[in-house]
Amino acid sequence: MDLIIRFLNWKTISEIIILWAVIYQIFLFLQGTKAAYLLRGIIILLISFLVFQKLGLFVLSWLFTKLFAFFVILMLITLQPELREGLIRLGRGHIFYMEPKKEEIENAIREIVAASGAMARKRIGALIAIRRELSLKNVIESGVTLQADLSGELLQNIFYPSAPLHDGGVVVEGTRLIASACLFPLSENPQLERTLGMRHRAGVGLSENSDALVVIVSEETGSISLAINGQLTRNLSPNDLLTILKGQLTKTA
Amino acid sequence: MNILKRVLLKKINLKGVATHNIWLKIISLLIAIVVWIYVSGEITKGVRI
Repeated sequence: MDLIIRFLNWKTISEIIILWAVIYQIFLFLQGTKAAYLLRGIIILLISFLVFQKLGLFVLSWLFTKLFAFFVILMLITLQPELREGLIRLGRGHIFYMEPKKEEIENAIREIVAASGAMARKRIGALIAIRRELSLKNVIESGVTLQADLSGELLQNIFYPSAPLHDGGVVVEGTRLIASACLFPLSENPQLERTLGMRHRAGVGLSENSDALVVIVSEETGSISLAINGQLTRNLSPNDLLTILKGQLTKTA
Repeated sequence: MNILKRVLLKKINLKGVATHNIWLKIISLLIAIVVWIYVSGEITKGVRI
């Protein structure tokens, strides 16, 4: 009863709201990075600590208290790149970034599919990575930042042979074309066909190292392929590509 | 354009803001309540001593 009365106090409510906002921002800050998995571990450790204290298991509680400080320092060192990215995001004021609506995502997918179809017909090679949960920061940093609204014409323009940015891949996030001329990691999977060129290997490589979807248009054959989780699906028609991309990208939107 | 004007012009979808990342918001709120209860309990214990 005493607790409920304390809860109804305006000071308590504002304290909880501020705490909630801070915790939510920390979650957003870590979302999309590998640090999110570590955060889950920390939460489990904290819950265990509270349980140990309540049960009166003092030796374990003492050990947790001593190890926790060490763990925090270890975390700061290990997550230095993620923390740096988060702080940059804070500085840029993207805290209140809102995900695009389902219709906007579908429009972006249609633009990608239309551009892929057109480039396949003209035998123009293309490599398009579509970000999902995990950050593609390292890949983006290897290329040229664009931060442009996604359009099929822009994609075709980028990949037009002899255009300055046509080498490498582009990174798409939601409805934005983030960067072009990016270097993707090459796959070392021995099961990949030997006939596959560097573009396909790069597409598969990125899909092995992240959860991104990678659309590859072959310069030699004019075929469209899609790499998901290290698996390459080849010879897709634009309609097939549209169906798969919609299924993969709009199911949670 | 300020936020109020964007809300009035329906450029910001309030329902979308509330439901976006809903589970993350709920979990954060639960953690905030647990942390508050724990810390306030510890403070009260300290005051009684």
